[in-house]
Amino acid sequence: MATAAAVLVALGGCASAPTEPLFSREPGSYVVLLPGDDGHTGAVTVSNAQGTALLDRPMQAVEIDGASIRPMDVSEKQIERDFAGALAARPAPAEVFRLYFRTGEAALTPASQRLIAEILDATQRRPAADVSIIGHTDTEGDAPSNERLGLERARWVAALLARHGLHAREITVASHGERNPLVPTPDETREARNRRVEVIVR
Amino acid sequence: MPANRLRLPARGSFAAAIAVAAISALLALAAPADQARAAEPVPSIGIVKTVKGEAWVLADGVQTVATPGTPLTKGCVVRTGPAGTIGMTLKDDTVLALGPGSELLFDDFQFAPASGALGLVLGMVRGTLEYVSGAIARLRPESVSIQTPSATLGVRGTRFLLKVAE
Repeated sequence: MATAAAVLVALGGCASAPTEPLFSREPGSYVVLLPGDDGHTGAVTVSNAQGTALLDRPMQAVEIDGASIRPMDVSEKQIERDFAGALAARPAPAEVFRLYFRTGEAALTPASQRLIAEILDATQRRPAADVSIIGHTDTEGDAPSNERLGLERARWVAALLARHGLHAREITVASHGERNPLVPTPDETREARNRRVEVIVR
Repeated sequence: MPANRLRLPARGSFAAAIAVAAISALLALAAPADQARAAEPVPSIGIVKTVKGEAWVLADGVQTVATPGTPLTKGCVVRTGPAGTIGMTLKDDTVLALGPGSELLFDDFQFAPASGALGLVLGMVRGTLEYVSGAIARLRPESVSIQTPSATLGVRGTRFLLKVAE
């Protein structure tokens, strides 16, 4: 009984307070937040002379040169009308291949070795493919040494891929050292998952 | 492809650019190491991946017809024609797409996490944009901003659409 009443109250509250009306007329300049490919929705702040608005729900929108800066919802029809061209032009998201070394050896693990063919396939499949080969370390040791170590690993993978016939519009080889971990850790932490070379095919 | 490259006479500072080039050449003669550096192309910050209809990349006063593979550099401007669209990826995996009648400036791009240099500043002058954030927004969201003539957008790692009406 109590539960049913709570549900009714919740529904009533929902129906009586549509806090986010749709644009009542054709919007001018505006921003719409969309869910990401992973289903997760981030957030955008919009600041202008009227103040600042925070968008943090999918399909939330705000006019950026209107009289107020109050978030509203926008219809899919409106999005289609304004953004069909941009949405159709969007390239495929980058593919990331994580390569790991055998402990203490200049050799890839068997699982990583098998990714080589997939990397080559991805570069051939994509229009004007470009590739980044980025070395990463864990946080054990000092940052400059880790940057050098990451670069050594990245160059080693770049040479390996070159021997397998990697061909791309641009190939970038770099090191992020300990500053872009896959798994965040405190400093001076051994973490095998962070000791990797990422090959990113765009 | 000479037909694809069009020098823009009204861009000014052409004489200045030549003077700078001449001075650079003199310096290069004086220092062989600089010469080697000067011979390297400007590093690209991203690449054009899709084009439909007309789209151009304007860099250092030279306008190039965009095709898949056209590089983007810091300071360049991308424009689409009345029926043109373009899709681009940046080196930090940011994905950008413009609808027809759009103009986007690449004001700043820094992606060197090991040295702590991170930043992405875009200027959306007009038209429509789809934006999907990349590694810079993940590592340091406060260093990413998109400016329009009337507003500034801050990005907390996300996907959004932006229309700037004229």
